Amino acid sequence: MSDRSTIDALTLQAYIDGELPETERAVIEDAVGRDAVLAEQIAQYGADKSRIAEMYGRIRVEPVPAKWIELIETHPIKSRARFSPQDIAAIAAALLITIGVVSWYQRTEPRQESIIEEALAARSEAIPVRQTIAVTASHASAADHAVASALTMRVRTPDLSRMGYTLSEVRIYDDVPGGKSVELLYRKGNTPSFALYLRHPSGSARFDQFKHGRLRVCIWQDDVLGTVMTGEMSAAEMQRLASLAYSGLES
Amino acid sequence: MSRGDARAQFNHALIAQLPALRRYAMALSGSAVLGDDLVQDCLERALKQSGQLRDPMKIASWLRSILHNLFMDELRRRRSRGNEEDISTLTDDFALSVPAVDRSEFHEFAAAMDTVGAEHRQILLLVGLEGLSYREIADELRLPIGTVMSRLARARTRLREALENGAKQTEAEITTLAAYRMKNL
Repeated sequence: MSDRSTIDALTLQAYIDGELPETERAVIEDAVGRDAVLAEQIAQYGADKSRIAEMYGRIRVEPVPAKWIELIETHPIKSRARFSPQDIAAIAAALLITIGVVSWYQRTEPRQESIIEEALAARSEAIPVRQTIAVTASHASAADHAVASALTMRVRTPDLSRMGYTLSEVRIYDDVPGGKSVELLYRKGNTPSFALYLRHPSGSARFDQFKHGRLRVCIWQDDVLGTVMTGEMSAAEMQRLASLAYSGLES
Repeated sequence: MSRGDARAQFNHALIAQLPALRRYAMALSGSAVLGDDLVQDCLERALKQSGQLRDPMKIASWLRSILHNLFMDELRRRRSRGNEEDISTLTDDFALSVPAVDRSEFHEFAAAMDTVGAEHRQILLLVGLEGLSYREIADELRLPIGTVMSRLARARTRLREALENGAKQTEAEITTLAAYRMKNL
């Protein structure tokens, strides 16, 4: 019997898009080896998919019209509402209380930026590493276990292969505020190019992206986990990578 | 972070998205002119509604959603005005956006993409051009993954048929032309 009758169209599409788990992939690959028509069908759909990127990739989109940049840069920020003297007095009182609470908090908690300083120090190997784990494809689950155990939380190492990054090393540090921290080093090609520093959060929820010398730095912190991502890349690439990494941390 | 800093950061992210958004708009609409109009309208709406972007990392997806809604509004407006102009008639100016050597091949492919309908074109572009996973598409379109998969399968089948029909048509034209030349030798 032909394998085509047992493999439905959705599974076939999922195979083309790399969305199937390893076991199901192997079943399709086995069938492809035995069924030339199925192989042809997959090759054709795969080629159509590639042509979309190839064809539309040829469109000249830059430089973008200057009027768009101007529109963005000159768009006014919404004006603030006008307040009565009573409102101003209430806001001033609230501000004083807030300042008091914040300065108390800053005395008792590490500075919010400390996580960024640590991440940069870790990247430049300026803080001692307690343990280094070289990661290979067959040891990916060991890396997950080491990270979850160091941070004492349900977290896994993000898979960034879709953007061409492979996890190559996990470094564990224990001389940081609030316990241990972990640095995940990813390679693109043969060079280490993206580092993801993780530890318990050191301040309030925060998202920010900026340049530090040649490095682009992205901090993304919620009330459970603080992450700092660093790499020499464009803002757009960091944005996509950070999104993939942050969502990939969920266990 | 002050309001000014937040706005500067938002603006920076918006500018970084412009080339990709422009490419997506042209591919979705099948027109360079309409694509640029859509991006312009999309920017105006995004700037007005910047407060609605809750996760700054999802700015690309947020912009594409705005742009897609604007495109669907435009299609509805054309229909309600009784303007049944097929969007594929706009592809002439679109082909001018690619290098001259690629135009013929590009035109054929863009014409085939135009026949699959906006909804199917959208999903083909999200997978093929933007490289999104099924989960990311499901989140962006607010659809169950099963619907994403079946819509994609239908879209690919239609695109394949359109490409094959286009190839047959071209072959028929060549045969007719050859017969005409033979007759007039």
